[in-house]
Amino acid sequence: MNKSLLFCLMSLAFSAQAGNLLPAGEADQSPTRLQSAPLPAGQFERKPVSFAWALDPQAALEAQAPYLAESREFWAVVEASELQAGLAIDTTAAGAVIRISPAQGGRAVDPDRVRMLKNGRLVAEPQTFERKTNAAQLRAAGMDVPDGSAIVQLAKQQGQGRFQVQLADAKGRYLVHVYEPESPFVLRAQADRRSVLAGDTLEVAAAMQRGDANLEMAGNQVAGVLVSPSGRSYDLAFSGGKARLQLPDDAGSEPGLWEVQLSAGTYADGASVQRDASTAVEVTRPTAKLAGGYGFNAAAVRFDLPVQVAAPGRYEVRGTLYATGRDGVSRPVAQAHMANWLQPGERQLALSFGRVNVPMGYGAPYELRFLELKDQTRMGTLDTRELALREGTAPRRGVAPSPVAPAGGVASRQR
Amino acid sequence: MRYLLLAALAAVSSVCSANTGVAFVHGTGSQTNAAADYWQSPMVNNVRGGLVDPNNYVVINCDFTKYMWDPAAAGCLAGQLTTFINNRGITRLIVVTHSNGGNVMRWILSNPTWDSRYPNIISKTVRVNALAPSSAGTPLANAVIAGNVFETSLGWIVGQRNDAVRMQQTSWMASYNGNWLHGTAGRPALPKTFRSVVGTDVDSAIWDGDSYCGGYVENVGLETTQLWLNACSDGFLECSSQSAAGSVWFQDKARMADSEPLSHNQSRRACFGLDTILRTDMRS
Repeated sequence: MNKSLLFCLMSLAFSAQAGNLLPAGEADQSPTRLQSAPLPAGQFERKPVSFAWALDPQAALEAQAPYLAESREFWAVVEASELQAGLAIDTTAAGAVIRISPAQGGRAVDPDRVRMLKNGRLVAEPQTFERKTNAAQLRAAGMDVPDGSAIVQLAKQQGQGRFQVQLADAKGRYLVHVYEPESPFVLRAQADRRSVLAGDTLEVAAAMQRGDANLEMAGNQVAGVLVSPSGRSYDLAFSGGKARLQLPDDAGSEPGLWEVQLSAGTYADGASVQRDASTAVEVTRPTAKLAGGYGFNAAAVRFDLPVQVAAPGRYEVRGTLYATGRDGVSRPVAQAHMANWLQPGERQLALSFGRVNVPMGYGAPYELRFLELKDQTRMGTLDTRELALREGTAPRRGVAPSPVAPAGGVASRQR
Repeated sequence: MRYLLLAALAAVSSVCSANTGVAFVHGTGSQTNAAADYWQSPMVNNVRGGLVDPNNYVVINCDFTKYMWDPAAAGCLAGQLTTFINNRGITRLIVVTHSNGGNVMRWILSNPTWDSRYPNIISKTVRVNALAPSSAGTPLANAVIAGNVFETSLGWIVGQRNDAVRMQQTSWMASYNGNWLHGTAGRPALPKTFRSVVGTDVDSAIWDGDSYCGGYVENVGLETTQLWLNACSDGFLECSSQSAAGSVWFQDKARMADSEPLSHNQSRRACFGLDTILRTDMRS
């Protein structure tokens, strides 16, 4: 074979190829419309930056499930008069922990002045508490409680049931926080997604459980709100243990996550059971999306990704390169990120993995997985594909197709 | 065998010819003199004493009451690390973090395109020794922030709890670990080694001298905060959170003198030989 023919064949093999991303799957997030958004305050990087590194092919990757919140605690706001008289609380297990925090201007709580009554009778002091801690000790331990807070833990020999917490010199308002580390009653809550686009629908599931068994809970026994980082709140109406809410289009751009905050109550064994739980969700305005096509440069193992941008900002693509080993199995071999400042319009970002990050014994066919488009200026995840594309020649003869690749071919049209 | 020997010699040679430096990265809080106020001199001096040039060290002072990506947090850390690398000609950087400092450093390692200074820091970093990192957050942050929901609704002490505490709620860290940070289970590995030292228990018996290392009052509080945590914890973080990102270098009782546990306050101090282990690590 002469040199020119070899060069010609190599050029063909390494030339940029074009294709279409696979359609978004059930677990993916993909904007159906775009919206402009003001630039948040602050200084942002303007230079293009790309970075790639090798991964251990034996370390399997997986999609992350939404967080499951579990609560054995509740909070109540009370007046000083209630604490002076003895605030009634029902406990469902021995060893309940009670934190009392004064409102601003309220009288600080001295843990030595907290008294407990059971069945209306004062519990003798030496047997009352397992532990008493003041605000200075808690803060020294890293627990950022408000000034004047105190925590007491009921002695285990006091058991469970109805108690009255008494603070004779209470003044003003207080937050009372009851935590039952050994209670079998748990409020569990989970959103259906880790991140949601403004205008899309979020579903939240909640269940009060005793051990692993669900307790029946009418709609009015669980209430919740979704709270934005700026403090705007939206009611969550529960039915059958689930609530659905369409998010506002104007999601704002304050840093931080949105919080699902739930309160639930029920009766069991003649006592009330209260629980509060919260979980967090990332909410983002759909300011850009993957345009749907891609180019591939086999020599550089680089994917060029067209992006539709509706708002100026710094955007990033990141993704994981899967390559096929000698055994025909597709495994993660490299991670690449690239970000740049983009103006509205048809733009492009690229993921350059580099040959150097593809280990010996691995090669085409390649897959681009866990592809994400992010808005760095507004801290949001915009467009995701667990499996974005497959590229390269078919597996070698006699080698089984990639076991991790799901069924289905390359999309035949531009999304 | 010959090749193995040559490879080992090459590795030793590269370490010897390199200019290694160490950076101490504090946890939650705004520090202006972390060497004295956060780490204390026995810890800093003993560890840097293990370097070929003990002057190749920097103690970071940033505002880690902010979210980890904030210019006052990761931006400040990137600035001080870049200055240190440039001024001292550092070619091998070992980063020692404590608590939330591990999250701020992991932000840099996980988001190399966020700031054009990050890639150079990552390329110089050889490893992060993360002392008790709050990689999966802490239920204690849940407890104080959830209370704040009610307080906020009444207009009480709004903003008292800082963004770093808010961020270290377990649900928030799960979100950031899943969306923005690397190194936790099922996520892509970090570009550089991130290994944790895990504190598994708290001793605060008044008659036990070991309870006084790092401050007795601090350890008394940790006995109470431990109530929010499972059986394996350092009083502020569960072992599962400390082990959530990267790899576990060691658990306290496996390496500390007399198998002592490291409470959350002791894991940033020269307690039970921790400083000696870190000092030895400066040579590899």
